[in-house]
Amino acid sequence: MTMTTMQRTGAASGAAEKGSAAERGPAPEQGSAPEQGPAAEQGERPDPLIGLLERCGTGDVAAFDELYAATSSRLYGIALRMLRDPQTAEDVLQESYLSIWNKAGSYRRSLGEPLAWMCSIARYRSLDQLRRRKYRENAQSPLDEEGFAAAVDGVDAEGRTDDGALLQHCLERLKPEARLCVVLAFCEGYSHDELSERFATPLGTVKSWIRRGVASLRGCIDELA
Amino acid sequence: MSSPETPADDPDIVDMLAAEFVLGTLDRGARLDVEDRREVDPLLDERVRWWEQRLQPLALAVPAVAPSAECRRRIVRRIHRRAAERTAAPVTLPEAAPSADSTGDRSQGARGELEARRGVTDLAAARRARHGEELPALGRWRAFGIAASLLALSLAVLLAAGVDPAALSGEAGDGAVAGTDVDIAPRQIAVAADRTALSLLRDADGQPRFIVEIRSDDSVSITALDREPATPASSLQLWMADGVSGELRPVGLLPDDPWSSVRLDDVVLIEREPAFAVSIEPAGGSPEPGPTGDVVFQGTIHPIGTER
Repeated sequence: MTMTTMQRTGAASGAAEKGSAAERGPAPEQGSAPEQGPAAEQGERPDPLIGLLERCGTGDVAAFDELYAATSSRLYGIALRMLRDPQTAEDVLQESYLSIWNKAGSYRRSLGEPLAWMCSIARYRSLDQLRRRKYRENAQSPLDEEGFAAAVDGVDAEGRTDDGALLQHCLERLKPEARLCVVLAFCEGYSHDELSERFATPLGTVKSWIRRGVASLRGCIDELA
Repeated sequence: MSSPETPADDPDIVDMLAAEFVLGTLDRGARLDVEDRREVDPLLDERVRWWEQRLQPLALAVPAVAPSAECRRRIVRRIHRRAAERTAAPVTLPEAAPSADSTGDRSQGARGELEARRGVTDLAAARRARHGEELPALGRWRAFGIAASLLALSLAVLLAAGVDPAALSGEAGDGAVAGTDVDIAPRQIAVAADRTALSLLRDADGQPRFIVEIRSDDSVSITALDREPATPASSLQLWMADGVSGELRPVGLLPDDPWSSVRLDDVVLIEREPAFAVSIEPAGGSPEPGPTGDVVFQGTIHPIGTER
């Protein structure tokens, strides 16, 4: 992994890739209120997903069709990555979109960028399923070091945003074990116990890696954002 | 915020909790506690959103994969049905908070850990009641009392779900309220007019999913309102719960085919605040006297007609 990808900049290539720091304005200070201003106030093009969510909130099924077309591959990719079972991932996707449909009317910008909000719903639903089923019980994750490196490299390559470049940079500053834990937890849904088992490392040590990694990540982002 | 008096007030601890919630390393119980607390703790809520935003590029780095066309068809069909329900009867159901949601129970260990980090409120029970989430642990059935779903509301929801009220009033031949009647014998149809109690089982989003009827011969009939399978595998097991004592009694297994109505074993109605719940169990049912999996649907039992 190199820092070359940090040089990449450019506009998001579509609605599903919105979410740049530029769109949101400056990052808040630690503990400050989240960014809430509508995009229009910041002189930026509104995220089309916002309009689709608003229309879904009124029961507009055509808007849902558009929303699904624009975002389903993202959400399904996340669910599939975490659950590793297409059928279960599709079930989670279905529940996620039903939840999105039900809550679309109460979505507001302060909850986060639309795609981030939707991805969080899919991630949390997937996590629920993982914790419920213990899919990886007695199983080794197929994610290898190469796959991990690709994931971190892909942070900026996919997003092509300032946020992506910043996160990639800050991840690279973490100690390797902390970085691996953060990525495995976020992208693969690994729990403390699963990370402990995977690395044959005491649970307390793994928790310490993660907490130090999180603290370092926060410090780096606060410093550079 | 004033100077921290407890660990729960310490911004660094709050931030770490938020980060681990977003990372996903917390167990399910701890996750639920964080969700509860977000509703009353603006700092925690803000930190969760901050981490969600900051880590979002990692989510976008996960390769996008197109779901199957069949998946889209199923989702769109359900959305269209729900949209039709909204138009037909704008009943306001108990709705989830606008935050990204998560369902699940809490482990005792996690709860102890989190309670040590924050003040315990009644919000958790209220939230689970609102969401229709419940736990197999006996004491947690008390939250059904908080849910207090009234018969009037249930009927309103049934109407919203497009169910013919006549089907609930005991008219003969209504064995299939919704779905294909693949397992209804003539004898069962004959006794269907004599139902004495009904329950509407809702999912975590408060959406009606099953109608459960108790008939005069103490048999139980279950009809799927939603024709999508609730879970991909395993068995769905029906339980009757005493909302006061928390006692649980197994009733039977739901069919794999979500389109069907079924008749289960005889059952004696619990007297005090009875409720039904459906849990996810290993194939063939729970190996334990009580549920071993999560309760995914639930509903209060409403006696109708004759006194029991």
